[in-house]
Amino acid sequence: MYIIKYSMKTVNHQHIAIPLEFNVACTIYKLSVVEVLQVFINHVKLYNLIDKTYDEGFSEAIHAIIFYVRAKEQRCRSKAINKCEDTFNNCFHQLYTIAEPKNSELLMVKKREYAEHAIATIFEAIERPYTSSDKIYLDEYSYLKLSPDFCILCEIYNCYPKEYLEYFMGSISLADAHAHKGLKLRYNNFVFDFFKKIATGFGRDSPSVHELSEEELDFYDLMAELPLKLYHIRGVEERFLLLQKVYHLHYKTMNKH
Amino acid sequence: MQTTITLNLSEDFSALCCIYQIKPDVFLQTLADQISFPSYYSNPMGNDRWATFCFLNFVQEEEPKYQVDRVLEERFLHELDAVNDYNIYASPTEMEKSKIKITEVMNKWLKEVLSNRSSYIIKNL
Repeated sequence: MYIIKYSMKTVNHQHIAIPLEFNVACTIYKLSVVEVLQVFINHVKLYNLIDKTYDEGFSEAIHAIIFYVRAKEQRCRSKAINKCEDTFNNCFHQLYTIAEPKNSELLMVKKREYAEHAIATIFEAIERPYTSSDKIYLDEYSYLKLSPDFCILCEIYNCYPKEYLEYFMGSISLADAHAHKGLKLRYNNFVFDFFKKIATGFGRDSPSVHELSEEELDFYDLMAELPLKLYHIRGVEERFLLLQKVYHLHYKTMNKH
Repeated sequence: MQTTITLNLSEDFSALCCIYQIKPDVFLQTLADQISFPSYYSNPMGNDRWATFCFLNFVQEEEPKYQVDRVLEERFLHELDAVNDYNIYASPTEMEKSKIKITEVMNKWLKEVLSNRSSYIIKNL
């Protein structure tokens, strides 16, 4: 009994549950789940926590983290920081110096580069109960590589990487976004905006040229016509459910083979 | 209802009409005949669906420029959806029934719009 309980606990923090809606969105945009998550991780930078200047991709990524932490409302102080408080404060002081208004003409890329040294110092000093490994396995074959920035953000807010990743994935729903867009309603979801950017090539290196099957072509035709076909459905929730049905069906046919 | 409309025909459209020897007014008349919510929604896969599609696309894209009573639109579109029995196995007679019901909804909608407009005018006398 004890063994079962123990193994369940370890599995819980490591195993990443990929929401169906996220899988569906990746299938429709022909993205690999691992790639999208890795782009997200790579754009989470500690420096953007301090400097609020808009930084394409990076601002959205850090906001996802901030929103998750705020929603969790867990105000206990990180043990990991307690043990290296001096180093931590020194390094954060350095980051604030870089973010000072007098450096405002520097590009964000440069400023992030300058911040790297301080972040590496924190990373060396900090204890890592939440990110004991740099790698997170999604299945036997694919894993995500955690950056020092990402690990530090897990430690200072007492969160497991899985929590951030699942929050990111959970914010994505094509059916919901398209239901709002079709009814011309504002869709305030910056995580989705970030996902859309990745879908159109942001942060990815593989050129997105795909051979589409007959079935897929039919689906994309249908997808383009759907806003018109559903014109008479004026409720967001109703539209969302209808779109969701069609998108899920496509996901199922694509994953049959 | 008869109307005399003056239109500027684009080069491409008049070229096509010339090539296929179609009188522009005949073509536009056909197009206008096919724009119909009752026939589209009672048979969305019908061969005559494209003209209504074109109309819907116009409304979807250009709507902000036109004044539409949103609340009424929502109410009657909902009603339209509720009376429509269309499904992919619907037989022609069933489609015809749906078409009649939708036409009734459209008439009610038009009546409501007109009565709202006339009461608006009277109020401002």
